[in-house]
Amino acid sequence: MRMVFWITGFFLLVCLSVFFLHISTNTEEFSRYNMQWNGTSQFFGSRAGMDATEIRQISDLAGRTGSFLLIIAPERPFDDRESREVHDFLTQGNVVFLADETGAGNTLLEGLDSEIRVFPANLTSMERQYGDPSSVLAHPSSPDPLNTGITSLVLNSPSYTKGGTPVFTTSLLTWADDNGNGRIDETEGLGRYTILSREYMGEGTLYVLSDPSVFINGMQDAGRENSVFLGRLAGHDGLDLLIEQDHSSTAKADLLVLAIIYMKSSKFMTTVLFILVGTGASLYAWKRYSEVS
Amino acid sequence: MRRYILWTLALALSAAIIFLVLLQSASPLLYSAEYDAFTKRHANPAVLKPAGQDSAERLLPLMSDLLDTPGTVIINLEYGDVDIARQDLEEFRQLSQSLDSLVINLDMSESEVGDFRRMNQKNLLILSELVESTARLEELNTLEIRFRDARDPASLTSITYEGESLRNQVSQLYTQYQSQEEPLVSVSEKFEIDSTGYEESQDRFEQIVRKIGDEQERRVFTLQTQIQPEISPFQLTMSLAPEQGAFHETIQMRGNLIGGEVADREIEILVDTRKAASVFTDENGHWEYLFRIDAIDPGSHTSFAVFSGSTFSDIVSFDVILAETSLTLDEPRVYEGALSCSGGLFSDRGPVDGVRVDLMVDGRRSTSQLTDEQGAFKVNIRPGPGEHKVWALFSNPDVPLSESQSRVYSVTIPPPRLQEPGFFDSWENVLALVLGALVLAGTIIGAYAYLRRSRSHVPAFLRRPRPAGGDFPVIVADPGMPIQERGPDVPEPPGDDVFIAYSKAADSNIREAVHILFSYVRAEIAGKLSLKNPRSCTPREICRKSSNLPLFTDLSAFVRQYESVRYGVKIPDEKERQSFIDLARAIHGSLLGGRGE
Repeated sequence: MRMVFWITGFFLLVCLSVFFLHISTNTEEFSRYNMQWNGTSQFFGSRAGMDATEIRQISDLAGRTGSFLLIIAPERPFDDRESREVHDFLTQGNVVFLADETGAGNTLLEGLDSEIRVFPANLTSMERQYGDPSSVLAHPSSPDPLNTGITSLVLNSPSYTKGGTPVFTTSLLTWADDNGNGRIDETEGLGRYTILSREYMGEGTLYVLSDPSVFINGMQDAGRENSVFLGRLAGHDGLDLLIEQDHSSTAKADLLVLAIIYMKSSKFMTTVLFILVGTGASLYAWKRYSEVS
Repeated sequence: MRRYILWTLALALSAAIIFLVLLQSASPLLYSAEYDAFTKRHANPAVLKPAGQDSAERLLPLMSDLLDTPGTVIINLEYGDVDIARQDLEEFRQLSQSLDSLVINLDMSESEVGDFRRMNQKNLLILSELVESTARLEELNTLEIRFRDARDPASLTSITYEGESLRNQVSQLYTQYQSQEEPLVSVSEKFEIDSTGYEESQDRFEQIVRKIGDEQERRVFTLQTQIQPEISPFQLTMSLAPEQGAFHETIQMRGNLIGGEVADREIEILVDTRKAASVFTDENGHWEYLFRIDAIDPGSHTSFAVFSGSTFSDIVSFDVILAETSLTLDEPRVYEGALSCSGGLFSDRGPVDGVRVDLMVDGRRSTSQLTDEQGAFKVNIRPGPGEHKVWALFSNPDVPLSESQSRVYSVTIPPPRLQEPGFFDSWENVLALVLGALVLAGTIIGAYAYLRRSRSHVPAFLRRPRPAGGDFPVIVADPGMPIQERGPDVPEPPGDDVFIAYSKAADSNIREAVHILFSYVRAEIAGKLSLKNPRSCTPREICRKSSNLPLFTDLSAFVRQYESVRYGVKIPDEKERQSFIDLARAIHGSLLGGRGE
């Protein structure tokens, strides 16, 4: 009987663990709480991600120096005040790395008075890592600390950028597949597209990458050189890594996950939770004792 | 014993589940990574197959090589190394085939690479003809020396005429080669390919044309000045009309043989030094031939007539016009999974008959069909279910007709209506049914055996018959209620059989033994209180319901001991075993108003 009790307890524990694992994750694109292939939990769970400082509002950038700000897949535009604050941050000698493929980051680029723009497109290439034409390969274009020693970067349905200095570009056998049929048609021209652009602004540097998919879990094993590239972003010239969590899709979470995050981040709520659980357990134990006696 | 049965059942069930899972493992239906591998923003690399990158990486170097090779062929021709030029041409042909297959494999027919491939094919054709023409001119040079030494004016005239045709032909090849330069250089610049070699080859080609022209001039000069014309009794004239024509039009060639016996004499007609036909003169020495323009390049062509291999007419020229074509395709009709396509090919001079029109499906040639006299064609194809792009294409470099393409239609071929397979058509269904039936039967048999066994443990005297009148009323014990000593619901005073059964079972399984006693006590009390479904009452419920009865104290003690043995791990000693009997007797006695003690 006792063995049955332990086995039942073990299975209950497993079920509870799976249940909590299930409710503490989601399937949102780029979400750091999404443990599936299209989430960014692995990047945020890496040492660099864990050590990074989260920027919950752009005004938190004020006064920071020697920092590298990562903005991954912004999902809403930046207003003028936010753009000004990022501009001030940049000109103080910091680095801003914007990874955007939808063009949502163009409001920031306009606000920064940058030459670079992101052009949403279904970029497709003959030079690719996988059978799917969207797994485009990009190659170093002009010397930059981010591309030194890297021969190719594997992308996943990238858009392209224009303006600035090209740091990574595709091969000439690349085209914007406007009709999405995966093959080149008469109206679609082959050409070299820029994937990562650089622009110096004041003392700072602005990078714009047209494919935030390099951060998703599914791409972590896409190529050794992708890991090298991500490692360089995380430890760029020994700068402090900041990760924007206000506009970025990586901060997306559903209500339950948000509640858990809030609970974890609030000491008051943690204390209340402990008191509630403790009281419940005590009441149950007392009831059992009185029943037996 | 019961424990072994439970273990066996659990094992059997586990084995059955594992077996069922294994059955599904080959084609899991619950979840597969492929199901959600693509979103609007990216694809899951875990489900993508690695690409063969070699082909794409080979493409640009191959294009570069193909742009350089014509220059090599032309240099060798310029220096008179025809054999080496042939080898280079063969290499050029192989490289071109590699490009062809690469473009098809990469599905790039409609890109600038596809344009490059088409221009390269044209270059290959031009160079092939140039090599053959140059080789023939080399032969003519040798023959010229021999005929001149042999003072053979007829043969010398023949090779001079042939030389004229070849000069004409090479000149046209140069014009075509020149027209390729701008688009080819433009494409190569786009792909960052160095086209210097190709551009230089244009100049070298021009040198070859000039050299052939000079040789022909010299040949004509030799014929006219150094060789005495053979005195022949015959003269041959030739004229043609019209002087230009388009595809499938005819040019009338005619002339007269004069001098001597001219009736029924054979006249050979040569077009571009190749024999086109033989005709016979009439009684007046008149001959006539209708030349039909078919597989011949557009541009200027030469023609002359020869009688008896020694009497030549003058050389006359005519032009072949490149006719613009238009291709129509009616909206394809879908029926029973097939596609019926029809259309027509027309030039600016009317319907075009007798040429092949290709039907393209999703960029690949599906089939081709000859046009009829009205220029119409009709084909039926089965492209397979799904959406397709269909169009017609006419492209034939051998005839003087321009390339044309119809409009593109999107058609959807519905999937064939599947005949629903019967349930018993699949062995997996049958196996699942048999297994399901076995499991169900096993469960039923097991449940029945378990119940039988459970009931056999209860002594017969504990099985109370259900009253005939229906359900028992729910009654709460009342302390003032008199004890019913006799009646149909009151058990007989226990003999020794309960306690004998208890003692027997206690030796092997004390938990079962105390349960026998408890069942007895519960039946007693249930009978007393007329409880409904007494077997569903737990010891504590029985205890609670008897809280107003005098037996409550004994019953509480009995239940406490019973729970510690039945549900706990306690193994009672002899004294404690006896105390169960004592308490049961006391409870029975209380129920009978002290008679049992």
